[in-house]
Amino acid sequence: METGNVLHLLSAYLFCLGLLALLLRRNTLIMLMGIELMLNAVNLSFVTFSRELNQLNGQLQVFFVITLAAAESAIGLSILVNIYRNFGSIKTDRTTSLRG
Amino acid sequence: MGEAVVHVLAALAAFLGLFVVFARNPFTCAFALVGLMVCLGGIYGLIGAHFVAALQVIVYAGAIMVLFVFAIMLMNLNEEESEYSWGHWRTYAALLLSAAVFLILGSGVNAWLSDTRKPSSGVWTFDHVREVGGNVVALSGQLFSKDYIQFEIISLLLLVASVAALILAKRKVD
Repeated sequence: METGNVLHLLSAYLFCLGLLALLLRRNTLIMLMGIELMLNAVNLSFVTFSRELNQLNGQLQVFFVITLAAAESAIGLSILVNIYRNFGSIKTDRTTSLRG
Repeated sequence: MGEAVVHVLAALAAFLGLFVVFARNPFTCAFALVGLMVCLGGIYGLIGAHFVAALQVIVYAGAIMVLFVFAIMLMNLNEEESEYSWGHWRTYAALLLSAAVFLILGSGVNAWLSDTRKPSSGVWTFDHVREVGGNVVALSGQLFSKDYIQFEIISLLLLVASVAALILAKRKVD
């Protein structure tokens, strides 16, 4: 198989794994890891298209996405610390204050 | 030779991704994700995106994942009782939804690969990038001329995010 095809398929696969981690796991930390995994899959897609079309815009976009991921994980983890302080756990089935 | 290494790294990344989703211990998940990101960095380096490869290893595998490992150590996550379980209908719903998304994305990839009317290719071929002086020089030339407003905005975003993280992690806002 050609390299570009392999990388496009890997990107789709990793995106689905990230989505699965987000839907399946109850641990908020691992749900955040799923989001990181999806961002990585999108980055891979950007770089592969950038290589196939001989352009640099995809790689520039990856630069911005990585910065965004760093900001997102910093805020996400500090929200997580607050959840842990208030509920004593970061599992989603313990944080049920809003359940009617 | 490079192509074969890319394929091996892709297979390794696909294998490590399963650990991120299905491993019960959060540490296993975190270190599988570190390995996956290093694999992706290797792929980027081998297909010519050298700057992105360096960023991937330094920022993702270095900084973001260290933050995750710190967070795991900060909270004792020994309770395993309420993790996902096979046999629950929600597990199958999640698997089904992910498979559906994979089919949609895969058909998109297939449509792209079989499309004969591809957009015209840009000027940044491998040889042209080498003439200019390498991937980093070409990329920074674009970043600080055409995209400098976005660069400034993203620095503002980082400032806002660090202030927000500080406020959120404080015990009490006076």
